[in-house]
Amino acid sequence: MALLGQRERMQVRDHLAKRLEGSVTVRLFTQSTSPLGAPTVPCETCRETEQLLRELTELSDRLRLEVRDLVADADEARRLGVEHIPTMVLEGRNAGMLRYVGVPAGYEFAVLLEALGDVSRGSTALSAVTRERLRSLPGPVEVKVLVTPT
Amino acid sequence: MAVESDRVTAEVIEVAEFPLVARRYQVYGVPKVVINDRVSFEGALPEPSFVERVVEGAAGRTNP
Repeated sequence: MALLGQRERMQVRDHLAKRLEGSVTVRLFTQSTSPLGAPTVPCETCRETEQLLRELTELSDRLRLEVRDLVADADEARRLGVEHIPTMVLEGRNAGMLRYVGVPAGYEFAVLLEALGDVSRGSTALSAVTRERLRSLPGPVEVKVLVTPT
Repeated sequence: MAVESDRVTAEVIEVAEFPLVARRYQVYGVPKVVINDRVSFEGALPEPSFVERVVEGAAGRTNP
């Protein structure tokens, strides 16, 4: 069964058509299943997240989904700083790295849509002063935003 | 912020799925923002104050 209803699908398609400028790759780190279908790493929301992202990325030609396995693609995961599953890495015109860990449900789905727009444009609504300060930071920063579903 | 600067990595974590992460960062209120594992705050901040905390977190890494 589809996670996005027909109405939501139309709204999201419309939003993406308006907001996406360049293409964005959503790289999802998840788990593979053994030949018997048993998960190699426990992950309660991996399947749901993958389905949601499949439905989402079908709604725009500018979105591409690439699925990776945390165990089989461990080197790539390490390089991208991926420690948990599901994690998605957003790749477009962004200068820094953006990761989303967990299933983007409820309000977080809207946050993800906004992020996809920003990443596709390589620009945000931040002020010129803020942008300048961020570019001249004395060293690398990792900003974690811890949220709960709403 | 990570869209604008190659020095910034942004990670959103849905902590209800990762109780160990919630415990590690002592999350009592959300959103909780943690910068370079040393500067943190709960709730929303105006943009200039948020950036101040990011700068503070960045300085901490080069000058512990």
